[in-house]
Amino acid sequence: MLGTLLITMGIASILFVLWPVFRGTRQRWEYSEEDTPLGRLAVRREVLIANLADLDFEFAMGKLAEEEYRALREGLKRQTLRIMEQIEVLRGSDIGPASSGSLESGTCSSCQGELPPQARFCPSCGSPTGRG
Amino acid sequence: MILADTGNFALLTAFVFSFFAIATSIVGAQRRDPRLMAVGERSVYVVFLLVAVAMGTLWALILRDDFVIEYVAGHSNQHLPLHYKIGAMWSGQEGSLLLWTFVLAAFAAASVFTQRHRHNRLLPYAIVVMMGTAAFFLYLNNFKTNPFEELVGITGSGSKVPWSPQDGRGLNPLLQHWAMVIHPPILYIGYVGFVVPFAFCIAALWTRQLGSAWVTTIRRWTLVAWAFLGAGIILGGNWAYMELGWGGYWAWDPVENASLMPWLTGTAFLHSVIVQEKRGMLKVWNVVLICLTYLLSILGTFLTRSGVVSSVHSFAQSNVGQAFAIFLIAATVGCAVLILSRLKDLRSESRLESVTSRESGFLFNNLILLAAAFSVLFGTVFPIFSELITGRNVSVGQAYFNAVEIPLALALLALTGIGPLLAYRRTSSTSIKRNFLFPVVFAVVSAPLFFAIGVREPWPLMSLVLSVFVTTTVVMEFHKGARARMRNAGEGYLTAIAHLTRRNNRRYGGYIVHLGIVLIFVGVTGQAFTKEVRGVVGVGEEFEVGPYRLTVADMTERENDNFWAGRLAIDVFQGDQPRFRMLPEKRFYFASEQPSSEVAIARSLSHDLYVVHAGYNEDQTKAVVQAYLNPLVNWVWIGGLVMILGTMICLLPAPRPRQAEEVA
Repeated sequence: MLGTLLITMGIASILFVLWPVFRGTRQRWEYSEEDTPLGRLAVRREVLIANLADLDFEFAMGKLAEEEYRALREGLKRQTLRIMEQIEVLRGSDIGPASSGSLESGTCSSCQGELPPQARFCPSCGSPTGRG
Repeated sequence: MILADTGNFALLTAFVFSFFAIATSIVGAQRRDPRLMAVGERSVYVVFLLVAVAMGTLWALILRDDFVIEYVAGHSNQHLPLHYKIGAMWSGQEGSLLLWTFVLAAFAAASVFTQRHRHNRLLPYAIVVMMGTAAFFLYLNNFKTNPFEELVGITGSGSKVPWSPQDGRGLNPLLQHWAMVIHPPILYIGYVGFVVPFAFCIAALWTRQLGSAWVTTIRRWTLVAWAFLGAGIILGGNWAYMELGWGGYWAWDPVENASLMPWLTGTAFLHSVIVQEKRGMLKVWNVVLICLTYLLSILGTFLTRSGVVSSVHSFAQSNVGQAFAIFLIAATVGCAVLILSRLKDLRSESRLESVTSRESGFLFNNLILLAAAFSVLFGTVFPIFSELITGRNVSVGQAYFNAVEIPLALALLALTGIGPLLAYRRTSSTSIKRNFLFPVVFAVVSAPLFFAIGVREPWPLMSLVLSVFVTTTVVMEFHKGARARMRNAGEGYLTAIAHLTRRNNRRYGGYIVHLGIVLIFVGVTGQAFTKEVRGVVGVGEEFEVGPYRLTVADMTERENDNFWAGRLAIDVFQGDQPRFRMLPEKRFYFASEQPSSEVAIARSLSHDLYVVHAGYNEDQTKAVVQAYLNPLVNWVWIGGLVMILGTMICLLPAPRPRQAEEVA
């Protein structure tokens, strides 16, 4: 009785764990947006925009002097614009839109580092991958 | 027998599956094989289910009074009430280490389930870390502190046979309290919960994915662990207050210190990670803090479980001490090597621009929290080194902790108020003057008022004045934010406060947590004014404590299956007015043959009257009564609840983007 129970428990565990090996899985190896220079810039841009909103709110609360607010906002705006320019440069390069990149991973011709699918730049050395 | 074998089988199988999860996750990630990675994830679920089976089995053994199991015989008895039988599960070393493993497996399964479609580059490595920790604890559960060991007797022929006593030795009377039923699980959720952020941090270091993804992933996990650890600490203090009968709730005991240290470093991390999110700074600092928090959680378990603090010899005799020491050293070296090898990837994206900035406020707050954590660590491990060097186990005592921790705590309280008044990057002197004006004025005005009502000692006075300062800053933050919303969105005052809190839940939830901290400081400050009176009194006799006159009205006895109790009925008068009756008890528990005091507490927001039946005089005609007047003590528990409320607000899901775009 106990033996049967334990053996059933063991077999059920093994079958549950190994199920994806027999039947496959819907999960895919995914790359985060931080794998590409464009993704990293997009994250940075979002942070800067959030910081600008915070700064505006702190000024509206009356916690910052006008002059100080203007100077800080100008600095943040410059940084945001710089990032947006870099994003534009990457988007406008002859490599084409991200969506048209290769769906397969590969190797960088410059540094031999691994390339994520759809990457237009190597995440290791930043060289264009020539996909597009 | 069947149940114990099932428990053993579940623990052993879980141990095997934890290694299987590690192996398949590493190979799956290296080969980028989603199927193998899925096998690793499913192995985590199986480890959780098997450990749950082991937990359930031990519970069943306790509820069935199966005293052939050594753990059940040692920690329960037939007449123990049901809720204490549930708590008996984690009243001893074997059970509490099984609880550790269970909470860890539950956290691992929950994090895998919620993160399986996100960051799957980090997840396999996070599984390796979580299951590596689980494998260590399962090793202890299986081979060092097995809760399913059976008692054996020797027959006349010398052979060993299972042996069951008539009844168990019972649960330690001090643990027979409702807080002890829920305190350990809550505390362990806090301790163990830090394994998840640590695992994702190590995964990010390992894969060099050190951008914002891992930080975003662990934010909520860290908050949950931090809140539970804080709640566990407060609940432990509450238990000590109600059960130990010495009138206080915190004694700088190694077990208390063990839980405080990771809470302090976790608090530091929660603050400095904001700077990383906003400015891309303090990246090394943050990974160091999260590693420290994990290591201190393990160290805390090691200190309390190995017996090393009470004596180096008990460490040598302890069956888990050496295993813990090896694991701790290996984990520390592993973390250090990994962090050092990734320093290039952890470079800051910005620099500190000014001392008068929010960033430097966070940095000072971190330094103080770290100084507090390490000074507590020093005081806690001092007896170990004193015994190693001099051969005598000397503890530093409360005087050391109070001398070091009180100034640090007050500096931290001051920064709790200063930080929010500073802007990111830099704050001009004009803004500083404007922002600090009201809080400083209120604080300065409060000082003579406190002095006038009798607060003359410097530390308590400073604590209350700073509490006024911080409260004013928090109130002003809400008020100014609401005014800004009223102007920009045309809302009413209360609506503006509600929307403000909802739209900026992390910031304003944090302020509510700060308010909770202030209330705890107020409660702790009250301890400086505690009054204590000891009386040896018979029926009809009286003594005084503070404004109260205590008269013994009756001395009775009662008995049930679990204990015998001598009960005092004490009528309390204020002037000539009768106020209330208090019923403290002196108990003797039959199974464990141990005495215990059940204190009587009359609570109010201004003070507690705390009465202990400490025993009888020599001829048993009079009762020894210890009475305390504890001012403001309930604000400690109220502060704890406010902290939990603030954390829950911080944990609310972020508003939808369309809402967030509106002016906050």
